[in-house]
Amino acid sequence: MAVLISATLVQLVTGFLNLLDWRPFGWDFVVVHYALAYVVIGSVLLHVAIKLPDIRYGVSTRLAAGDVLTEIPWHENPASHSNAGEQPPALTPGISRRGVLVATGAGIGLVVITAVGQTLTPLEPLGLLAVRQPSKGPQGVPVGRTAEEAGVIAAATDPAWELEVKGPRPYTLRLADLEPLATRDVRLPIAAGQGWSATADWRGIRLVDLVTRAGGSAGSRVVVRSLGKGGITKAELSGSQLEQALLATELNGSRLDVDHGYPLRLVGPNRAETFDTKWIGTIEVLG
Amino acid sequence: MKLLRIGLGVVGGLLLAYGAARLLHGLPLPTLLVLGGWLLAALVVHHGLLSPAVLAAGAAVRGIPDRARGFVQAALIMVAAVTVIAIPLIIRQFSQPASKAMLLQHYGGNLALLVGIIALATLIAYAIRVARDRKPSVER
Repeated sequence: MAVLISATLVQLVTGFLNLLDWRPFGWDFVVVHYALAYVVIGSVLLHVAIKLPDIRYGVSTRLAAGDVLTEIPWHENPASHSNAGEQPPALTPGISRRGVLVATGAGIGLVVITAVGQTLTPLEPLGLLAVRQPSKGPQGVPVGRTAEEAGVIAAATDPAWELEVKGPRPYTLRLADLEPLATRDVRLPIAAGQGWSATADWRGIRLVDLVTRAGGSAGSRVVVRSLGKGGITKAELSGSQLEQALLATELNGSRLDVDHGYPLRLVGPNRAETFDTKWIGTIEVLG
Repeated sequence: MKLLRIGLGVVGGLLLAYGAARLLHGLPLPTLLVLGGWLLAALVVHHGLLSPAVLAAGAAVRGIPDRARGFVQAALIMVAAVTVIAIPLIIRQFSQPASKAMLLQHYGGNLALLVGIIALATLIAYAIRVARDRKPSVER
């Protein structure tokens, strides 16, 4: 019982704090959340096993005075409605058991309606308790890791930025060379591990076109490296991931915001947002 | 039922043991101690704060007339649900870079609005109930 209460409470609280990017507990969230889930499920099953007779009795009996709560066995409790024969149960003043369930459901429903807008775009305006409001992000798309966090603002906004493409026929592209090449439009969702996703219109250059120009092909293995520091700073692509990858320069009709990876970022279908390398500096064709 | 109870007990016990073993193997001792502290604190909060608060609320509504009491209790349950979600949001509001598009609302005001909506809806439901009680059913 104590295990059930404390494990469930810790599981719920830390799970919610994690959604807020707030981890004052200090441990590896995923490891503990995963293991604690077994503890919670196990202790619920144990609890049901122990309480099953009470549950069966409580559910199958019309109770007036709630004698399941008195801890007196019902057959020894003269006040129990079950022992009162055929007469209808007295009206319980105040809320009924069914009323408690309905009110709890309504409360949870209210939380769901006022929070689900962070995932279900049409309901975003109702998001009074929503953690995220995707449309408030730069260019209408939230950011997972900012340019400041990656320590990349100066390098990414440097007008002398160049894209270095390594391979059998290496070359570099300056900003002025790059932007006229960006003619491909795709509509793609980006899906982040922090629990949000956003569909957006991207314009850019097919990665495979730059790879081919460097002497590679659609069958090459390619590494894309970021100028950012810390976290995941490169992505390796091959096969269909390489064929469909886009090096984006524009998002929703305007030049990329620096937090979205200006001057150049990777996007592609079926990729987690953390692997969509931003602030690209180098592309390596590995053959 | 006996078989079901034994089955549930065994499966539950095994799952619990597996989870505990994962924790003991996956975490260094200092982290385990912190986790133990959190689990203990959860128990203290539950027994020392949440349960007494519910009992106190129960005692406080006892003075309300029978017909209205159920509505007040239902409203309190709904208010509790939105409040427990709103509190961490209030603590963390505006704590993140703006471009992450998260925690950019005044959640305290939003909570007040939701509590107002719950109060209004409860009042309307109660008014309908009072009106129905007053009007003897004409049909039937």
